[in-house]
Amino acid sequence: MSVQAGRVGAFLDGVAAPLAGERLDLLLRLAMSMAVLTVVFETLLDIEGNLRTGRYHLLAAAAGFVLAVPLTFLERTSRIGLALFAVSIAVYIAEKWAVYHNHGWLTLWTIPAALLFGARWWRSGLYRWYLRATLGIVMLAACAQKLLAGSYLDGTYITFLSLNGSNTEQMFGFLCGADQAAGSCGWHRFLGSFIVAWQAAVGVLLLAGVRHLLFLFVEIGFLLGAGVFADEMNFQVLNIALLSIVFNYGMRPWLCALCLVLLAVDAYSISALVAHAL
Amino acid sequence: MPFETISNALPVPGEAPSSRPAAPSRPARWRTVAVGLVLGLHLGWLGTHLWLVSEERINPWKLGGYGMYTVPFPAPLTHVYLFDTAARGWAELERGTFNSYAFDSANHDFVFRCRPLGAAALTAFLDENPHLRFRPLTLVVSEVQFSRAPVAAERMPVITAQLAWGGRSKFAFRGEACGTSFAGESDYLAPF
Repeated sequence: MSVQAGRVGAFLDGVAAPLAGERLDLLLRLAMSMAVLTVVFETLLDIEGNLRTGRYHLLAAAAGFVLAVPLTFLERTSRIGLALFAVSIAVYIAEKWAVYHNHGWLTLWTIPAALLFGARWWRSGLYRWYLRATLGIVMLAACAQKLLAGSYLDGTYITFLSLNGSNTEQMFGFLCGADQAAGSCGWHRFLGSFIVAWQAAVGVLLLAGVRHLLFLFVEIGFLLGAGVFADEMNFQVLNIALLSIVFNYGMRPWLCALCLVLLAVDAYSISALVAHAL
Repeated sequence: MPFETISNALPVPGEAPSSRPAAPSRPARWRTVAVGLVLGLHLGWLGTHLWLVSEERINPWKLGGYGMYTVPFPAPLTHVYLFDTAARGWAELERGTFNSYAFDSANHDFVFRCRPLGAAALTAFLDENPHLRFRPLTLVVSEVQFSRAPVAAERMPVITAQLAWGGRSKFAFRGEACGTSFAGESDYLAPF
């Protein structure tokens, strides 16, 4: 028992230990590379369609995303990688702005901005503050949209997904009885209200500058839960990568391994994997 | 040492540890201004997006998607009706018997939910469907709409347009988008 506890303690020490110098620099660049990699995974879905419709400029932009991953990671070329990413996403948005995926929009607001902060953008406190503020206002905007729709406080959207959603979206169906279509039950109202309250709290805490690592880890846990529910891990990995920069934590090996697994899972979708396993 | 104690003992993660080269004490003023401008622009768009969603003008899942997972994805779909002279009524064409890629693209995949159809979009539809040219048509765009009581989603028409021909080189159209009427006409030169 004590050996086990010692191992857990050593792991937690490694997880929470502060880093400094070049190792932290490297892990911050790795986080940005991971953020770019999520766009690569998102773009892979478009390749066949772009080939079929002869939109070779989008294929070239996709190649730009791929090339930006290692370039962003390397110290000497990191800014070139960011610039390549910025050009590539500009090409995509010029072509598909109305239907461009939300994942891409969030990267547009967050990644190219690093170009403003010099060759060593990862050392800029102002950039981290910018990322923090951007993620904070996006969380508050998402919360405001849920309040406006009214479908969370009364639990109806959770109930709808429980009845009509994908495999993972139905995970909370068991909380209510058979006659859900007539109206939401108390558990779904609680769940919907909790999601709204959590988004508001995260937005406020980010804007307030709370930098405790426990906040980061709890938010990562929440993102993973939301990712499983919505069967959308790619977007969560992007958020995790950006948050690891915001908190000056970097893409630690354990987090990097987790994100890579999540990207691989997302490529197949959790629903497909569950269906295959069953 | 318990995890919480370790966590509390950490230096503030947002600050550069002392072993790292000292960062400039203040960022250049132009950077601060640039960051403020970008944030202001983003805030402006967030407010605009919220307003457009509240007015039901845009798909909440798109253009940043701040309203995704508040309602089911509207999944707009184009339907085509052809006048059946024998039955003296409109009959919907089966999916796969017409193309709507260029039509949908010309309408930005109906992200702007209530945008009236224009001559350019209808021309694109005719260009990609040679077998439907010079015939009276009705085009309908439907989307999935959410109801909270009872909890359900149903596909409903949002935009309708009827198209009539004046010879083989001119068409006129009229219709409704979210209850607002629109009409127009256009010359048409078949591409092949």
